[in-house]
Amino acid sequence: MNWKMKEVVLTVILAVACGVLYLGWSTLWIPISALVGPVGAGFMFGIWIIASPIVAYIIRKPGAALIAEVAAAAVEMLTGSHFGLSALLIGVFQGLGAEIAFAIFGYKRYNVFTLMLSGALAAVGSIAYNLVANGLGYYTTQMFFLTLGIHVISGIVLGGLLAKVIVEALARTGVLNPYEIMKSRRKQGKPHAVATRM
Amino acid sequence: MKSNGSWLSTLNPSCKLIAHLLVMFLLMGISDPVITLCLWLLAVVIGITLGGWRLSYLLRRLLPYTLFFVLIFWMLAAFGKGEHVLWQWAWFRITEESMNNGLTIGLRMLGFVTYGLLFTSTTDLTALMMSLIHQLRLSPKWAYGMLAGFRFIPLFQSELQQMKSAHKIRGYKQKNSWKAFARYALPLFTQGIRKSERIAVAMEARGFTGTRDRTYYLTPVMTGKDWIYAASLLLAAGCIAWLLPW
Repeated sequence: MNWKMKEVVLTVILAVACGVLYLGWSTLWIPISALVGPVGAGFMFGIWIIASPIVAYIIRKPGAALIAEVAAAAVEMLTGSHFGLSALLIGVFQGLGAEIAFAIFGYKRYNVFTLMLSGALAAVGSIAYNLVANGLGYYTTQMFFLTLGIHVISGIVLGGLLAKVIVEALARTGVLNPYEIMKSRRKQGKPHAVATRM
Repeated sequence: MKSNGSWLSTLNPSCKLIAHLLVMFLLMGISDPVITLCLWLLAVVIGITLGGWRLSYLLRRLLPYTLFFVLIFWMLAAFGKGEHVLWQWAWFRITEESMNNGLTIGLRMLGFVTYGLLFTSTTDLTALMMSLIHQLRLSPKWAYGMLAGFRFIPLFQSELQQMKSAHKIRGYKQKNSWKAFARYALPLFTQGIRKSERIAVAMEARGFTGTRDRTYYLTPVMTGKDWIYAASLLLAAGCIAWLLPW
């Protein structure tokens, strides 16, 4: 695993930007969860795992998804959130889930399908953490599967699909030209996909 | 994350991190509210005696959490499984078991928050990164990359706030939330990517290669008191977990 310095810094900075957005998303989440209840607010879960698919899709290296999510979770710790170390642990579980999606394809396939799969698996990872640490297993069985289903759907849509939309929009601006995502496109000979730098 | 000058803040960060994570894992395996409560009290006692916490600080940090505690307790009590029904109304069904579980989980999360706070309130970020390099063999490339990246947290926060105000003043209303997310995320990310490229070039231009053979201004080491703290914390937590039920 040979990371270039610019890839290292890009991973951390994108994760930090995601972490800052997560904080804003949390303030949005509280009024909604008060309105429709915590299970219904699970639909908003997907945003919290978006760092993994975004960074993995751009950098395309083993470990990118895991590191991105852990670094994004660290933002919560560094800004003095209440859930300091537990946020970091959740980040590890979600990141591992997201990482598996790319690992099973040998880090060769990066398309909308693997991104959505990584969103779904990150949701499973998050549920696994909640099962171990936050007593999700103590809920009634139907509550458990309802929560799992909602989180997975949200992970697929808000995590995977939205990540794809955002990265494609970023690619059009040209800022991603020096990174792996555009390099592999140039190699495939899709010149129209490469935007010129303004 | 800054150190607060207490005795706890003089310990080796990696050692402290691992010791606290181990206690948190121990908390995960306990399903008894009384033991969980005692483990939480252990964290509070450490915080006040060794961590330099004042009572007012503790209250300020933990009071906002009480609302959350009540919410978690209510969710588990009302929607949890159990046999001995105590009270039933509409779809809420409170049982003896679910009350017990709600209490355990609420206290466990309180324990997580407190052990996490014990770490974050006494540890300096730079010291942690240096300790991760020396004690946990993290590559300097990643440690310094993260240090550089984490510097941008306050900048991104103020940028986000600025964008929100700019949208507000132009009459933008959040119609649906994921579009709002994309609207704020895109400028934040494009700025971030440009900045990250400049930082990486700047680091390399100053001769930073990220290899392990480099010199350090400070080299954190493990001393006797680090071992003593970790061992006595784990011993105390272990005693509470195994001896209390008898």
